[in-house]
Amino acid sequence: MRRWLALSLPWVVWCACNSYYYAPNTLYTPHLIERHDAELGICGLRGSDFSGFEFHGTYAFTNHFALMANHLDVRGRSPSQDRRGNGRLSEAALGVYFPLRQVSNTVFVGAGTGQVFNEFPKGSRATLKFHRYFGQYGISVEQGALRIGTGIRLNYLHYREGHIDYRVGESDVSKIILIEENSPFIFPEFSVNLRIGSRPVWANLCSTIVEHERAKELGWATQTIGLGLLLEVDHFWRAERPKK
Amino acid sequence: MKRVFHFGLPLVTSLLLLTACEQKPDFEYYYYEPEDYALLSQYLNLPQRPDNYSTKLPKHLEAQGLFARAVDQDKAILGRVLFYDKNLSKDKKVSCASCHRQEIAFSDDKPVSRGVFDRVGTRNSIALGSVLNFSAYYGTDLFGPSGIPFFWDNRANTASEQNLATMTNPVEMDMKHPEIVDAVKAQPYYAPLFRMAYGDETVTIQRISEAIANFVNAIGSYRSKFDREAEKTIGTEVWSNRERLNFSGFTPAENRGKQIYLDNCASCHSPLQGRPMKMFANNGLDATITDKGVGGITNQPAHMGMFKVPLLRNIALTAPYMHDGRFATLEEVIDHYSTGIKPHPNLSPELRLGSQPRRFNFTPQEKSDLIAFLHTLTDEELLVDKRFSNPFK
Ligand code: HEC
Ligand code: HEC
Repeated sequence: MRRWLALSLPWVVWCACNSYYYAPNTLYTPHLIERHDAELGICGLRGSDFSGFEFHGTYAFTNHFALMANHLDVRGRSPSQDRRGNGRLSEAALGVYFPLRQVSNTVFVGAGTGQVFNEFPKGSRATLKFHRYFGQYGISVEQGALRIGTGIRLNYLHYREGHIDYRVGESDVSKIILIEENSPFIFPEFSVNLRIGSRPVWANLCSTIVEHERAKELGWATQTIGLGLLLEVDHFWRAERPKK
Repeated sequence: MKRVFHFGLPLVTSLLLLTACEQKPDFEYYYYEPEDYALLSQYLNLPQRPDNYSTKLPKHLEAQGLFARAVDQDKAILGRVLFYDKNLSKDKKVSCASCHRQEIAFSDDKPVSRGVFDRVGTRNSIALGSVLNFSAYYGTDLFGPSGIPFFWDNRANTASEQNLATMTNPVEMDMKHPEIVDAVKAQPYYAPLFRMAYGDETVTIQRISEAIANFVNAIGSYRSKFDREAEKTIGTEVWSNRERLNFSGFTPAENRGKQIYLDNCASCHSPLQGRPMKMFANNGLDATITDKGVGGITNQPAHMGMFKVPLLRNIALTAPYMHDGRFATLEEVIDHYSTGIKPHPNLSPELRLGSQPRRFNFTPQEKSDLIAFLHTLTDEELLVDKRFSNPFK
């Protein structure tokens, strides 16, 4: 348990050699079996040039329906280049789940809002605000001390507002103009979640990738890796999950 | 299961409806504060979106290790205004641009330049169309001296040093440093420009010269017909022979002229117009010199009568030629190399046979081929590039 905690701390300060205008939060595949199942996750996240953390929560409020909430907060910084940036995304989703023995199938649709902010030398900034709608399907399989999940998420990402100081530089301005011209974006993301532990505490390793052919031109981060803890909080008010 | 669809379907539909309600992106780009821009616009034509002064050199120049130096965009914008501002001279009639005119590749059409009060200098203005090329190689950059690059006698190490020399030169702009600072402070449009470039409105001579240097360092020629053709050859032949190939887009005369150039001129002026092969040389203009050139600076007998080897970019536009503007046309220049080279102890080895000046004895055909080739070195885009044009209303 201690060791897991240590592992889950956000690790290594990272060089922000690139500025990003989108970074995916972890596509999270909860393991929901029955009513009142509730998961709470906290995760240290890392992508190229940035790191951060995120929270996940799911709660099965009926036998087939569940709620989900996610929050992401990432930061990048490059002291040598006098640049820094951060990004946030908060979202809520409603979903259904179908348990099949050790397998949990989940489908969620949700909406969220976020913003990315990059600051450059001389205090010049670019801030973009966006909405993201998504539908996701996830499957999670439990086998002993192991839970493996994988999912696909279809995003509708729309940048609705931007404040851009031209002094952020030509390369960023051209990324942003491309974003403005092409928003909204519809694209899939994929993830693998690996959990080791036993009820109610799991160590959680997850990786999410973005699939968009112009991601690089748009200044999107295309991959994140997260390491964290997952708690099945229902355990604390229900001593034992009744056997199915 | 049914309930799932009862709830799920409306949910998905309402989500789709939500996305349909999304409005077009509302992006706001800014540079100047609105009140600053209003003030600037009374005097200047500056685009609301700032010009981009960074340059990516074509591949054939990069293959020679030439990379454009990073230019500070905001300082270059300020530098552009200073470059065209006549208030920086004693009689308020002369700016840098008076002797470095964009339409003729930032040169002057007079044999020797005229400065304030019509005072006459001793040298021909140097076209600035290649400053970027020089700075890329010699490091005549903004960050300190690492070569001997500017002026006919190479006396200024950096663009800053160069422009300060010019502003204070009695026959050019004739201003003392405090006078220049005062002249700048007196113009209302400089406050916002200094704020953009330096974060505050303090005017100093160092800032003025650094800003001009940023602007001048961004001026470069790399979009000529010659460049377009040379770039096409990348990857087709080994480095050293690339320029020997006939260019497919050249006329036969231009290709013949290129060979003559490579055989007789490139050893000083550079095969690919990237950087001169020598920093200075004597090309046999006079048997007895009146202008010591580099020797006047170094006081070494071996440097007497030697002058900067210029790049020949835009050469068709920058008449008259040589440090004193003695030749009015390219024909005269080529006649000089053909039969007119004078003996001098420092005459460059390329231009002599033993102790005698070399006689190239070009035929009329060869002369016209050579001239046809020299015309391919003109970068037409530079002449109309808005980023380098006069910003004053
Ligand atoms: C009165 C005419 C005149 C004015 C005004 C003038 N120049 Fe020049 N410029 C010349 C002449 C003449 C030379 C060559 C002088 C020499 O080599 O001794 C020259 C040379 C240069 C060079 C050297 C180029 C090279 O390749 O070596 C630069 C750079 C330059 N000027 C920039 C400027 C700037 C910047 C200003 C304004 C601050 C300016 N000039 C104003 C006449 C002028
Ligand atoms: C020894 C080296 C050398 C060789 C070889 C040489 N030049 Fe030059 N060239 C110079 C130097 C040095 C200058 C400047 C001299 C001066 O102004 O006093 C110059 C000046 C010029 C100029 C005038 C540039 C201007 O901006 O005013 C032209 C045109 C020119 N050369 C063309 C040629 C041609 C064509 C050839 C071949 C036939 C050639 N050069 C061969 C060294 C050379």
